[in-house]
Amino acid sequence: MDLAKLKQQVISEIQAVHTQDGLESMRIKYLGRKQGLVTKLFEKIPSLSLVEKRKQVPALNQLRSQLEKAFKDRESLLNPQVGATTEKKLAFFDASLPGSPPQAGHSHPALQIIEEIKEIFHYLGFGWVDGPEVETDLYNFQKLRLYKDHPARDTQQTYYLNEELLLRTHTSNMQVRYLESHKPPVRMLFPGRVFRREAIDATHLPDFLQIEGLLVDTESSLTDLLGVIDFFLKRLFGEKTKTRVYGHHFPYTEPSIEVELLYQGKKWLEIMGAGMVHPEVIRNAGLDAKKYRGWAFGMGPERIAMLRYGIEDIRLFYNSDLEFLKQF
Amino acid sequence: MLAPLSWLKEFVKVSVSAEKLAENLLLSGTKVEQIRRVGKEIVFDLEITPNRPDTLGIYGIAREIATVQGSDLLPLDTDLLIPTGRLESAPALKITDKKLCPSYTLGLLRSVRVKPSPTYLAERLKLVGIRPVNNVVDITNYVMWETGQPLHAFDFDKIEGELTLRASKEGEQVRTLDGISRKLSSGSIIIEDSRKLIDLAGLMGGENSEIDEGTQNILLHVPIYDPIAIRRTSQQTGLRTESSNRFEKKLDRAGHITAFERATKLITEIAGGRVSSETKSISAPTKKSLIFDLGILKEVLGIEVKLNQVVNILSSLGFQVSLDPFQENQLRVGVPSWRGDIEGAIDLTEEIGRIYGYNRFPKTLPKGAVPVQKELYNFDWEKFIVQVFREGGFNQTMTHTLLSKKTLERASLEPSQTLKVANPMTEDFEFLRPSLYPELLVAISRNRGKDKIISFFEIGRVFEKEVSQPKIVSFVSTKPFSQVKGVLEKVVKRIDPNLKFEKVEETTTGIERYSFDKGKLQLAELSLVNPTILKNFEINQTVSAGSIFLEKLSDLQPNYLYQPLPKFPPVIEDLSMFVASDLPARKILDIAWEGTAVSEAEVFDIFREGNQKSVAVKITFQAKDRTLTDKEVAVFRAKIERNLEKKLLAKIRKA
Repeated sequence: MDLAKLKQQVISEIQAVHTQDGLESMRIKYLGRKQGLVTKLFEKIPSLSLVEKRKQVPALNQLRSQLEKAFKDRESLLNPQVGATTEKKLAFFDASLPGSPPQAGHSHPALQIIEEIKEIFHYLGFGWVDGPEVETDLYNFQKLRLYKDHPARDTQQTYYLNEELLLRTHTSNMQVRYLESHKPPVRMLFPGRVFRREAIDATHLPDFLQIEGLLVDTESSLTDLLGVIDFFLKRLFGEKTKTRVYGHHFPYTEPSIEVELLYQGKKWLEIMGAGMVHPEVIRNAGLDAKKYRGWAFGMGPERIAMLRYGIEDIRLFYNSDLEFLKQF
Repeated sequence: MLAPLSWLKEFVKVSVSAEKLAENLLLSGTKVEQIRRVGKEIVFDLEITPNRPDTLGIYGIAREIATVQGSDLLPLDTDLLIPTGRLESAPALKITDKKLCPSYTLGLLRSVRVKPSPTYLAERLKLVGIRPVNNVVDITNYVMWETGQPLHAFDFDKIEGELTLRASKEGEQVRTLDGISRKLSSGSIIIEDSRKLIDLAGLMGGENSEIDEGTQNILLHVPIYDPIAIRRTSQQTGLRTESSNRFEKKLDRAGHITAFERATKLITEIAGGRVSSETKSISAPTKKSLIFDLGILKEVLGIEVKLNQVVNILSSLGFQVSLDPFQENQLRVGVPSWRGDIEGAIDLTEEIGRIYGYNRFPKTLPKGAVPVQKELYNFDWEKFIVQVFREGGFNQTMTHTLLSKKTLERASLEPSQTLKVANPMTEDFEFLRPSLYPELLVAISRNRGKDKIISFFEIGRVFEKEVSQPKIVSFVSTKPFSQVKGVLEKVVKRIDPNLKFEKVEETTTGIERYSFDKGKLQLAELSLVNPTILKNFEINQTVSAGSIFLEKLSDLQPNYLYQPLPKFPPVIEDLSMFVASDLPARKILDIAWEGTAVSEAEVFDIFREGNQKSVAVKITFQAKDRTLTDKEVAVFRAKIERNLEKKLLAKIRKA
């Protein structure tokens, strides 16, 4: 019999089979210890001449090992979980070994923080929407009372595309933008990327994340803002979280506050800026500032992730280093 | 702003520790960033927000301390021996545009003796980071630090003829005290005499009129400049000084008088000399008063503050408070000249809130109804996609929005077609990404060697030249194409199970690009990345890359129905055939699917043999209403075989 032809035939039959049982019966048909077609070829060897033997034996051995491999491959394809290796695995069963990690992909620690923030505020009735990153000077600055040549612009080093367009320096650009197209009551989060033209180091990047919160209603006060911040930080960092609040200055909120968190019981760290939306900002959105009031806050998800996980270099968030991402 | 405790104590009694004082200041809104100890001195390093230039002076900070502690603020000593003898008239300063310098005080002091400052004064300046020069210059700096109002002293004998203050013309030059010759644009404020420019006003004096050891007569000038002109000059020249930092803010409208008096007193005491001219002082109106309706406190802050507390806080900060006898709930509040930041009742509300102490406020939750805005009705595709891709083994990452020309070129993207920032800081961050692929390929490249299979996805905005900035999902993976496609299909099927995957084009960037389209809307794309590009990123594995155009999904609701579970048993048939090697196997499945009672069709084996390929298909026949007989199935199968032979020229392999 032509061995090459036989091989071809068996291999295409193997390829066509799709159940384990079918494969097994096919294996018995060809390689079975008693009746196997190939096995029988071996049985004929003693009756061959020496010259024939020299030719046939290596060829038969090769055929047998090729077919064995083909069966094995097909077997593992049809059922990669069990198959030939199961017995070996059981023999080495050792519950003390570390578990193997799940095959799913990893989430990003800073984006995870945004998801947590969304979830917490969702409980308080907040929705969320993204906003433009290329923004006009008008919405990023002027409508927020940061007029041209305002010294407070110094604290927000800005990338410009041209006179009018810039890369937003904060997610506060969404305050007026959103209020212009949505009638209060409003409870919204604006997560997204912002830009600052600053030298890069362990705490500064040209682009990073911010999340802004905005509530505008007929009735809203600073005590509400403080209550919400307290709930939020306790929910994020635990019930025993200690915070403190003090006056600060942002041109678009009045009064303005900053919030600090007692980190690891010893160090006060700044965690967010907030305040009552300035009446002029409300007016800039086309609303009646006598009727509507509100509050807003802003914070950096990377910074929160850095505090929570003890990460010391903000650049790690943007390196796509699997060694880093796999930890989350 | 550096403030030595010993200096503060000249104006206010401090009875608590430095740490406690720092905390009290912070909690009232004046942030102490650091407490430094220099020898025996304690120096506070304060963060001063741009709205409070009054606290860019020791006296202003002392006022805050007095308010917080409820203690007295001592007056600034400006008492001067009344000059005797006949006074000459003050030198004239012609101001071409009042806006540039709305207020100023100036006067002459004669017979001063310029020499090094006394030790206490020189040491104090060093503590706050100012290099002592000589007694006259040091006193101007000292008074600036004390009052927040910058001053400038000219050597009067170096001035020739009449003085003019005007806006500079383009290209004019002035050599400043630091010896640098500065070329000016138009609009900077300068002072000139009849022959030369003598002052880059608000930033730095001119070298040609500086005080030196030989100086005997000085012209002391204490101006208030147009903040915008100062700020622009500072930006144009790149020169930022303690003076310009103050002049570009709303300075105390009356501060120039106090600072002049204080400096005159110190100069005559320390450097000798006498006031020899009348004092010329021009002031803009300083009075400003507001009606303050106390109802705003409850409305905005959410707390009740007692009337006497309100009055105490405001008075202590220097506001002049009077009760309105006819309006019980209203105060008339005179705003002190140094509080240019106070424009309305809301600003007074902040003053009361911060001094009262935000940490004493009760905490409440929003009272209004939960709003329903239209965004809430949208299906959260982003969330769904993140979930599918993560489960599919993709790692979520974030890459920079700004990228370099080099990275663009490696990805065969044309820099001239890409938006860029006008003022990049480095060439690494110059262009706005037109696609997420370049940085995702960098991500794969960066991790090569760590894992055999590397998969990333990112959600972010990309930028097109006419400033559209859609948000998209892009993904890259070294997994086999079919596995990547499988993950994408899971998303696509949720949008619309009938969406077909079509070849779009041979592109310059991908080998072949495929897309999922809904009508004319392209919802997603997928391709193998061109090997040349992979080589540019030093990747030697096959990479599949694709995107989902999120914003096109925003209005779509998932359109997905479950398949009723079968009640009758399936009959599974295998069908093997040879077809032309370039025939997409999908076409075989399409024909199989057209067959009668077919509930499932999938390719389970495919291999190439010469110019043909062998494809093995598993077809499941299953009727909804009965158990199929072998005979029926044979007929159905034969029909599919005939179609395959006819339409695809398939050669069916008989078992």
